[in-house]
Amino acid sequence: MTAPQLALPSGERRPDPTITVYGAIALAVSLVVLLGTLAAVYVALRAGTHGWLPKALNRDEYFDNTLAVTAFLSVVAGWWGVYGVVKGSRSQAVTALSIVVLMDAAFLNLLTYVVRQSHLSPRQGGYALVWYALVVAIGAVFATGIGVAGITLARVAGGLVSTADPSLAWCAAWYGTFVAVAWFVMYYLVHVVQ
Amino acid sequence: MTLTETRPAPAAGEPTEELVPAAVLPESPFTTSDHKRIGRYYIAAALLFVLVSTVVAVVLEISLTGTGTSTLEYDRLFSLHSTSAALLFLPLLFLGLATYLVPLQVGARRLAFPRLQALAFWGTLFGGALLQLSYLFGKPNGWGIAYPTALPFAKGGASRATDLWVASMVLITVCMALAAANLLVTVLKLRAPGMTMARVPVFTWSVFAVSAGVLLTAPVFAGGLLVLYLDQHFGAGVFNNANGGLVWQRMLWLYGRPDVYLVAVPALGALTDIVATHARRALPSLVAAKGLVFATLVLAFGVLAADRTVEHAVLQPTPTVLTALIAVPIGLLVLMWLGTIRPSSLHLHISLAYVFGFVALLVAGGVNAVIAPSQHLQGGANGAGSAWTVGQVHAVMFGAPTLAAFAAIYHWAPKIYGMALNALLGALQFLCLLAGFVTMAAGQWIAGYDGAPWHVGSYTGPDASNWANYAKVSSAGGLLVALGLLLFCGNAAISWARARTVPQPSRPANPYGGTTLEWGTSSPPPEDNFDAIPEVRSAAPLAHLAEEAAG
Repeated sequence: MTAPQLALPSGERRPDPTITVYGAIALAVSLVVLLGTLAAVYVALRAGTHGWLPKALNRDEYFDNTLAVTAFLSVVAGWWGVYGVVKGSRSQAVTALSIVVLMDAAFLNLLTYVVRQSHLSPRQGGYALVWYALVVAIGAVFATGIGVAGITLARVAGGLVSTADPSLAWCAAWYGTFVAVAWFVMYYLVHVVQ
Repeated sequence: MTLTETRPAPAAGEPTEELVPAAVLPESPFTTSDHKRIGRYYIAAALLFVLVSTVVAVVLEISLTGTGTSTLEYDRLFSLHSTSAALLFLPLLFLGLATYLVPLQVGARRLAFPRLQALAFWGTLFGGALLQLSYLFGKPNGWGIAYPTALPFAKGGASRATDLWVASMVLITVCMALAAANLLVTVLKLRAPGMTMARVPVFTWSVFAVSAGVLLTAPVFAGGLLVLYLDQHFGAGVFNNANGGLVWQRMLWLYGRPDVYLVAVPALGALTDIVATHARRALPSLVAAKGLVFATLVLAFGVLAADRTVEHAVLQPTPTVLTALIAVPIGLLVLMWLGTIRPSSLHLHISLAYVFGFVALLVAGGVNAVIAPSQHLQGGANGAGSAWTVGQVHAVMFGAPTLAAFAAIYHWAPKIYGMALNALLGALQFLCLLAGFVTMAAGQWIAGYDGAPWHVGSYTGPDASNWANYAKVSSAGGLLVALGLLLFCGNAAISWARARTVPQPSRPANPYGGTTLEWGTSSPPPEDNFDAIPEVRSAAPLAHLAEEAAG
């Protein structure tokens, strides 16, 4: 090899494990802006629409509450995963993160059921339109939550996340919390504020 | 001690933590983790899309000189032209430059998420292809979707063209946000030791700032597109009434207005680095230069105050101030460039001609803006908008940043293509582009002064023949721009082919005596960029090294 190269002193270093954390923060910021936009659209359209709630609206509080409980359990499991990693118990961490993935998947499953039994169509006006958009956005947020938890689970199982370097587990837990908060905000906006 | 040395063969036991990781996936254009390769892909894709967009623009202008086009045909062509030019040319060109250069400038071996950038590129390319396909699938619901309307032929919902248009926009927007996040994290986390944020080159700083801006605005557009898709596809028509239409407009322009300037920010960063390198002098104040670039970004968000009819903004006091303020940091930065240059030490390079062209077009646009506050100019003959605005868009929003982007490509060509591009062809291209932009804009400016409306498929009325003549002038300008772009494609292809026949030791790593890190590695850089991650001790690491070597 004879290519001319820089002769500066070497500053070689180990890879930075917090890169993934920063990536997750950037993703979360984008999703906050996305959900904030949809919330603003909801408020703006509601302000200019007479008869905002469609007559055919059929809301079942049971399913909405079940979704909230599922999201909450996912958050608890995520922090249990951090506990497992920090305490050096890989089995606990793997179990906890598996529960996060399952809970988030269950949330998505129930969300699709709620959509089907709502008897709403986007063509029914502003409320139904933004409701569908919010459901799609929340679904996307939970899908990314499954992705983050899945990556963390694989890395924990492979021994790449440990007591010495728990940053990815913290990242997954915080991201899972953000995912749940996103649902709670939507729930408050659409079902409490209406 | 010299600035460069013969690159040694890797020794056993060398630290490998920072090297490009062994490929888990087979190396291919779709899975590549080489940021330089992806950067070149972005640049090639941008040129492809702008050629399509320019041809469509020339067709539109030529049709205005004759019988014109129907409203529906105009909507289809205008959608294709405006969205391709606005989202698939300059953003991709600067994204390509940033993807290629940022890791080199900060002293990193790779991007933070190497394969994410490949995913973002291919997603953008696919989205761009969908956008072109939307033209073939029929009529869109409204003029460029800026004013969506339910058309009678779209029974119960959107036309397929609208569905494809929205899908392409979502894909492109999401992929751009992913690429921006990747660049942001790269600057934050992969800087070489000693490379503080105060020491990063201005281009990297501008990419960092604009990436943050994209992350804050792209999701707004994506959210708006999601609601628009549901509205149009299912035929709700929520955005067809006054209130809903206003909501859509605000979502569109919350992204669209800053986006106009988001391409100017990396252009300013690149030009600042280019001027400092060829002036062979440090900027009077690196911190001030970065502050001015950042101020441009912040003030770009102020343009939102112009709301949905920005062409009328100059008639309103508050938006006028907020829109005009953005000229202050840009003007100060140009003064800083002039203050950096000394004729005795200036290294004449073709990229400086493009810098001159950038400033000339900005000044022309600025002078025009001063005389804009006229109801006659703003409204046009039909009161809907004037052709003057079209000229302004093509000179300031499209022309000036395009010249800046080509200045950057000519400047960094030894790194990107392995050797410098042909200067004579570069000069010819510059003349074609500058003359093309001026001619194109002049035709539209004069038509606007004469009362010609904007965004119409055909001219009607007593002045129609005059306006048609101005459209001929603009068409000639558009053809010159297309010729300039083709000249560049030929120039790049020739240099790319020639570089493969020239042995690497005979290609200078630092042909201009640059002081930033990208000039410290070979041309083109190896896959892992640097033999060893350098330790940085000043904002001009190569100059610092030369001083140490001298004594």
